[in-house]
Amino acid sequence: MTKKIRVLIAKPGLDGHDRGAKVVARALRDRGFEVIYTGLHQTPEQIAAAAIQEGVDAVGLSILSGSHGTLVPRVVEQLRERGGEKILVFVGGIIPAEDILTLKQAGVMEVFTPGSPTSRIADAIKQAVEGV
Amino acid sequence: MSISDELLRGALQRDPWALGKLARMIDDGLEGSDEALERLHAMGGRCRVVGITGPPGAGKSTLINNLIREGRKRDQTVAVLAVDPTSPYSGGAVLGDRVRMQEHATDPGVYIRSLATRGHMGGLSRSVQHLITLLDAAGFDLVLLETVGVGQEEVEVKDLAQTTVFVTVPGLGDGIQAMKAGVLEIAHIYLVNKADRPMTETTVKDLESMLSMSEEKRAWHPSVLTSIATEGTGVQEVMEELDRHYSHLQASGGLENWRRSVADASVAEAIRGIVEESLKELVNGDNPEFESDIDRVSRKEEDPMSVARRWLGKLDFGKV
Ligand SMILES: Nc1nc2c(ncn2[C@@H]2O[C@H](COP(=O)(O)OP(=O)(O)O)[C@@H](O)[C@H]2O)c(=O)[nH]1
Ligand SMILES: [Mg+2]
Repeated sequence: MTKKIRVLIAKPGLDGHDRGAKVVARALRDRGFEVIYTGLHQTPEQIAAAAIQEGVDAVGLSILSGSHGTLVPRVVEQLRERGGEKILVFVGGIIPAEDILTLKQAGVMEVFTPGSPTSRIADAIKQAVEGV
Repeated sequence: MSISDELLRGALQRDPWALGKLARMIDDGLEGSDEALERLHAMGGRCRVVGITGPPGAGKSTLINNLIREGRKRDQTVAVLAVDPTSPYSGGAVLGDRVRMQEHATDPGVYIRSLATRGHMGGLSRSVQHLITLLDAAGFDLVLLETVGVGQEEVEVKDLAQTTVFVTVPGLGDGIQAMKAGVLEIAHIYLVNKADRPMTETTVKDLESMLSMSEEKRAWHPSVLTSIATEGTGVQEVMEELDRHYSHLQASGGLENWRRSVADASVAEAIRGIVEESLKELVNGDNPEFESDIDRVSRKEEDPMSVARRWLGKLDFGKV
């Protein structure tokens, strides 16, 4: 049996619709992942605490509000503080090209902008988790 | 490999990281998990285990969110195991129960773990019993077990929970009729949630009359309560009814029976697991003797049952 990959999908911040997050959640399920969905308006503390309790391999953050610059590093920092430095963080949403490098430097594995095929997201997580 | 004392010690102090790590090891059946469970099993034996079952969308997770709050008001530590089905097509799952409980995510007295059935029958994951062992050893006062169930799927909940709450909604009366009689035999408390909707009274009456029909020889008479989980209405009453049932268990020797039933279900499950493991090894490995027996069956030189019996005698289950 190949090990199940567990991913937590969260929406930090204030923007109020989660269609994209749910599409990604279902696509990952269809690739055999176990996806924990935590819903809207999550604080970085809540997201990191949930990820630790759930023992996930990766956390996906869906952000449309433009506040990725502050929210994402805080999630990474919260994860580290709680012992989750090995948990991969990926980001989906409307992220300007010039911010992508900054996010990666802050510890983000990959950034997926609108239009990224969900298969690419699944592949990237699989590769990073299984190291193949 | 030996399970690290540090990890175990962390879990026993309800450190979320250690719990998350151990729960994952146990759920995945990784190396070290058997040893961990061996040690954990000897501890605990104190926690309250409540099963919350019922059809999807009835409001189980929302109710649990409220029960956590009530438990915390009483200064209890609370853990939740929320089970959702694995997709039979992909083997994956979307686990969404946590959405309703995130207000407790950062409370150090609360631990929430979502899990998928992973193809296990009974609406429960195979590892649920082991995770209860972990949470019990960790000293949680209350463990809430959420599982989707209609019909006979939730039979297993009753093996693991001391008290089972069946949650339904108004207007599901016909649905309840259609359900297998099993549902009316497993629960100790029936809850009609979404009591802000029409037909609540009718549904309560339907349930009560069905219960009065099936209730000949039982010492505990299940009650039918109502709630509006989104507003927290009726939750206090559920909590009180849970207390009442626990007192009943204590007074009637029911807790002893429960311990036996958990032990019974766990050992049977463990045997099933071991047999399945050995079988998988046999079928996946290329054992020439086994392969040639399969050929013999396919050529009708021998029947499947005789071959199966011979192999069951030969397998070394102790090795697994
Ligand atoms: N009107 C109403 N909606 C409720 C009530 N309790 C839960 N809900 C809603 O029902 C939906 C399903 O609730 P959830 O707790 O996830 O149900 P579960 O699938 O049984 O765990 C959610 O949208 C809840 O907000 C209630 O008492 N009244
Ligand atoms: Mg639920």
